[in-house]
Amino acid sequence: MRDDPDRGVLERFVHGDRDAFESLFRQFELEVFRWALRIVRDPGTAEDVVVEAFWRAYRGRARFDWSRSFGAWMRRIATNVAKDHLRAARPRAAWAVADERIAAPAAPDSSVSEAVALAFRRLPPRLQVVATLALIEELPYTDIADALDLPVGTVKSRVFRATRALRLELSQLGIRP
Amino acid sequence: MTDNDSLARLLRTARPPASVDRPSRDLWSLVECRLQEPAEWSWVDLSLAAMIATTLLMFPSWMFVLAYHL
Repeated sequence: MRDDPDRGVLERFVHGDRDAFESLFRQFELEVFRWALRIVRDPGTAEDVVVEAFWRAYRGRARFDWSRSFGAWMRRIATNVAKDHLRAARPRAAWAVADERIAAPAAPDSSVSEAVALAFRRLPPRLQVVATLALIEELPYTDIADALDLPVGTVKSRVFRATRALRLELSQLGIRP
Repeated sequence: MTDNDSLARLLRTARPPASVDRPSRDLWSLVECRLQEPAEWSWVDLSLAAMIATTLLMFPSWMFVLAYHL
């Protein structure tokens, strides 16, 4: 995230000044968008996340944590909003069990990719977020822990649970990664 | 290649990064619209209000207790 804005702007924001809020929005919009995009992987959804996250930030401005940077606070709010979007997009249909077992090839074809994407979307959102950030984006656990406001140990355990759940889901589809 | 590397490779293929790096429209106007919307009542608020109203209808004398504590 960028350097933090000066304290005066933050204080005006906390007191409800719309101009200060707009100034913060202009400064952090791109960073929040890119962060959300890394989690939700869809530009339209990431835009929705940005709008919702800044709205929540303004609504909860009195709870701004002065011990943290504005960027880190926004990232955390955006992560929570993204999690809500993942929850809403989570498929609920039961698995169709594959007739034949499919070994994951060196260059996965589209049917394997679709199955993996579906298996991923079936994970609980909190596991989807850590799996995306840790396995796909390869962010350090400390950064993920900071963004999610969790201890590093919890992040590690969620990554472990996510990989275990994914393997189980994929094995039910006959895919062995 | 470890098991996790193999899984990560599959995930990266299944969930590729988006090719854009900035919003396609002005999001500030959407945030402003959102700020002007009236606050919505959540189902928690509505349930609580309904519960209190029902309780007061069943036990009207509790109104005085409530009024005293408010």
